[in-house]
Amino acid sequence: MFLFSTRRTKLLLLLPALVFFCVYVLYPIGYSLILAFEFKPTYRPGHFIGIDNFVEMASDDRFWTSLKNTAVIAIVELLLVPALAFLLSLLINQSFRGNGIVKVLAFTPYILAGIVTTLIWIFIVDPNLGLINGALNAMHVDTTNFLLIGGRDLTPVTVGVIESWKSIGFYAVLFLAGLKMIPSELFDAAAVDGATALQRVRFITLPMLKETNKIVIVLVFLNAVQSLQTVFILTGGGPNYESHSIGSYIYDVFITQRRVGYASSITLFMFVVMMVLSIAFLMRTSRRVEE
Amino acid sequence: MMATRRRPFFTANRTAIFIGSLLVCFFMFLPFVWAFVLSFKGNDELYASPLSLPNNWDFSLYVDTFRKSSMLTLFKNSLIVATLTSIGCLLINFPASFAIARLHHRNARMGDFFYYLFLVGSAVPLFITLYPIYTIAQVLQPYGLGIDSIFGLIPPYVAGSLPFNTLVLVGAMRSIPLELEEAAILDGCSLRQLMVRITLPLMAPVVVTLTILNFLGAWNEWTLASILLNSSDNYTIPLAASFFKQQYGMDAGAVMRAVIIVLIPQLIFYAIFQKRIVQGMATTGLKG
Repeated sequence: MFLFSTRRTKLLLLLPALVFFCVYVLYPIGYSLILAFEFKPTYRPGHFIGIDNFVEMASDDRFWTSLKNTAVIAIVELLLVPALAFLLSLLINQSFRGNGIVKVLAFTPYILAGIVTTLIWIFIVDPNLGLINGALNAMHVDTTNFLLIGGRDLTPVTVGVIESWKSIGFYAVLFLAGLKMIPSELFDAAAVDGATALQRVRFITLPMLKETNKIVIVLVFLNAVQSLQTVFILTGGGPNYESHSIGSYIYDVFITQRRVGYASSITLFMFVVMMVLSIAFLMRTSRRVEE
Repeated sequence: MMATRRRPFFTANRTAIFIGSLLVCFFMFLPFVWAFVLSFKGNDELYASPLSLPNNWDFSLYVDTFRKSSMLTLFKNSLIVATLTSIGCLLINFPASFAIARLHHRNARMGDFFYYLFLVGSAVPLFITLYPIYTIAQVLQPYGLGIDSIFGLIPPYVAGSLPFNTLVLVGAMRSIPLELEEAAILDGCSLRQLMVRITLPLMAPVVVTLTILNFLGAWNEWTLASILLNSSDNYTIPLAASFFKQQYGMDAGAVMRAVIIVLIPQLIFYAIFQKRIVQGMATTGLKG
């Protein structure tokens, strides 16, 4: 390799990637930081207004509603995904005929566009056409106030469930990779000592999967905070801005209200919250390991 | 992958496994199956009795939906965007990763600098880049890479592939031994020959998997496409799908038929490449 290691060839090979990085990553970050402190309608020039956008955020009810909804989405996903994905990975890890098929089927929703999988779900959750309300009606349960989408309260929960369904196969495969890393001697030794299957899961598998679990939790959290497409398709944020997530609210401010400056401020806020919470979580959990 | 199958650390009984698998398949596929069943219903039938099976299973409704839509244009657009994006990703990322993994090995710190620089990109939420990318597209308008052009989607998509592709390619290159490439150099191989004739074939499995994932990523992308494309002749599949509800109005059956028409090619693609897709996404723990 040393024959070619001139500074010029190195630079030449890296240059295209570097150009793309600067134009599409560095420049947007810098520009967005400026926009966050500007009054900037999409199609007109903006001007600096200091922290006025953030002041407006503090008194923007729609923003706080979307923040609350996003918290609900994240909590639902954090409750469902790690636990269910772990159980699913235990199932796939069993050697039986067809475990490959289960894995591939569970993974399927993850490779499809979020727009399309959400459209599929309309027939399950729609209050008029959906399977769930239809089945409840057939059992003579009154569902007039049970609106999985379009009501006041339940939409974020529905969004969380749909996004969990979409990604569970992926996280199960992540857990599976972690499971394969555990040396089987540990289980053999435990079996010799008379540990039951449940004890082995509790005292060997779970502690050994701690690192994978941390990664899964952070990834689930980051994706939940940025959820956009599911809300966009299910309700479009309606009725009256009550079901927006942060992501879909930013999209609405940017596209429908055409206020790029304000949208950038909310994005900046979201980004900081995401980073602070993830890093705090990772630091807390790593300290606990050391103790 | 593994030559010998590891003994599972506990063996649940067969009934439990069977019930578990059945439950998983049921919940994962219920929405698809239900949508498929109901897609055979006309609109009146759908609203009159949402839960019953369709009266007759004829495909004429599908033919009708297909005729009324511009599916062929959508597929053409998505195919062009996804193909050119995955080619572009390879052209940009492979040389860069080669430089990071191979040419910098005497001064690893410099290689690491670029490596982590590109990885930082994965922490940036897409929302931050939306408007700046729109302004870049305005600048590129005269070159045919601007707003409302499917080709304008390709550069931002390629840029979006940087973190994930660099991570995978550099990791894979560092794990293959240097000897073969050194022998080629002693035989008088030029740099380009080395990259194209020696390293690329050695990396073939990784490159193929990455290309499939890049293709899928571009095929599924919605947010950027919704900002850069205006006229329906230029829509990609996810973007068009996000308008199905408006397009077909209250005809929910037609929406489902359109969705299923859109899904079938992708499911076939997945069925063919499922091993590479699942493994590729799992071993890296990330998505494109």
